[in-house]
Amino acid sequence: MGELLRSLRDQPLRTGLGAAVVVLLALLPLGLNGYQTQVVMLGYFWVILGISWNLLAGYTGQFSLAQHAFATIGSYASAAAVLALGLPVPGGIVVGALTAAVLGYGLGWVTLRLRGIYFAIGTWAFAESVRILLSVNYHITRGDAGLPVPFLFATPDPFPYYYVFFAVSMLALGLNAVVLRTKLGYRMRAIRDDQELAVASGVDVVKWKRVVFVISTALAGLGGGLYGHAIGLLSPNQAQFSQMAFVIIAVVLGGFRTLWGPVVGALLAQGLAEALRISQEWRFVVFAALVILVVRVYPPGIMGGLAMLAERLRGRPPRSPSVGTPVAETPIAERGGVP
Amino acid sequence: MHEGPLLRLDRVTKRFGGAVAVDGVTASFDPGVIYGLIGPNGSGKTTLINLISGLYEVDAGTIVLGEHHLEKRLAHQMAALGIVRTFQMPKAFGSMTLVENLLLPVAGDHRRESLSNQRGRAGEVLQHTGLDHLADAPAASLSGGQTMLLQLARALMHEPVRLLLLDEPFAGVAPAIKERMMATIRRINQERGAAVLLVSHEMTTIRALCERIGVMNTGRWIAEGPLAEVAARPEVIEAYLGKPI
Repeated sequence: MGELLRSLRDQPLRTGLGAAVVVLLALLPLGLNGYQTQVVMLGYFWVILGISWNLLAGYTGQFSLAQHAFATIGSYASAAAVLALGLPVPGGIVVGALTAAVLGYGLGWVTLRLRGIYFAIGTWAFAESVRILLSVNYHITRGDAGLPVPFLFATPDPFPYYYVFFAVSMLALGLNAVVLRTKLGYRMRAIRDDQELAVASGVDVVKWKRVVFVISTALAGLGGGLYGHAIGLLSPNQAQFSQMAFVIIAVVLGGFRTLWGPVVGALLAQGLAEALRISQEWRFVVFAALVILVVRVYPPGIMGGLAMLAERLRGRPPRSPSVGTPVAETPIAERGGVP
Repeated sequence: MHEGPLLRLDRVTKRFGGAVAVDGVTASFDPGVIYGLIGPNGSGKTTLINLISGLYEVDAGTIVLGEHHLEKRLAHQMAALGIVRTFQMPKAFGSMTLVENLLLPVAGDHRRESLSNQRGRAGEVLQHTGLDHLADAPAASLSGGQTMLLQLARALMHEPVRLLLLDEPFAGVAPAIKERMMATIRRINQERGAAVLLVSHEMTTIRALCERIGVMNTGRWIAEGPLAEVAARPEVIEAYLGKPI
């Protein structure tokens, strides 16, 4: 916490700007109609998923492709807790987050000793399994017909939902900011930069990757739980890979490995997706082109670019490596300590 | 309280497929002494460092630090025992600033101090190594020599430090930085009472720093003793030196 306070004190402009953005977002629904509020509210769902994925992929270097699946697990687990066990909706949402965390721990146990593309493939295979299981177990999930679930509030008005999603998004952002300045944050970035060096510094790489995986999947599960009880209908389509692609697009657009990147990217991507809704699936082609453009022309994304600009204005070399910068690859050592 | 050698290697062997990289090495190292380790390329020096620091698992033999057997320990547990190492290829946490690089050992699993309490010490270490003007720069922006110096600076932030393993720390380093590195090695040795095992091909720095020398050839430990004595041995001249120094 001392590190966080020091950081806030040392960067008053950034702290002030961040606070101003939070206040603006809190006041935003006052200037929006119901439809627009609903759109931005759903944008926060992607913000939560983006932050959870950025913790894992951006800051820890573990390129998971299952974030959408853990959100879906959170949705269905919450629905099961409410519909089958009779829990109140908030209790169901907590169950959803915990279920995602427990399954995240299990998947992490199996996959976190894998590196790079193998880890990505392992998580992607898990996500596909989740989608297929939800789809084929019609008698439990109603499959592609969709599972109606109770709403969190007794009103369809998106206004209260906006503030729930907004609050959870800002809490996730705050959690991210705190974590980065704790020993856990140092360990995460060390693991991403050079696992062998992290181990030599006394960091139990496998353990801390697992811890981050659990935090990340719990957050995704929480987002999924909220989503289900805000929309009122669950579908295995939530676990389609296009959903994961949307998370990646949002984070890359806003700024991979930046604190505010997932917030800016997710809200922007949600706005664009809504604007391009008329073009249906073609919007993913537009998004793909946009991501290629960002990665090719300006890898740090919007917030990464702004951070680099600020560093240059202060006469310092840029801190954040671009997405295109290869992270130090270390040889696979032979022992359990180095996965 | 343990007395006697700090580190004992007994018939330590490491094979990679059919190749024997380290072949039955038996040696011991006393606390507070700076040792040099020389030998031709491919003689097993780096493999030995990797075995002691836990990055490789031994195939046969024992490695004992004080009273602790190291053979079955995980690599990250070595730091808790006081084994600190640098790497032959300059390694740093590239996206992190120099201060953050120095604070990373404080984030090791066995450390209890807070990061903010150790910032002052990190600043003092950067000043000692002459890197203080780059404190807030990302480590990726450093030259190879500066990164080597940063590796040593990071060693000063470890706690405890009982054995410092340095793998070719002077390779390709400018003379000015080399001087600072030598001062840092002496400081770690004197302030912490740490034993140092220095792998190097540079006989001038070996001569300036090391009290005793070990020589490896084709995975075997072929000689050990003060430099003048070791350098006069025919098997060392034949395997490595080429002529008496």
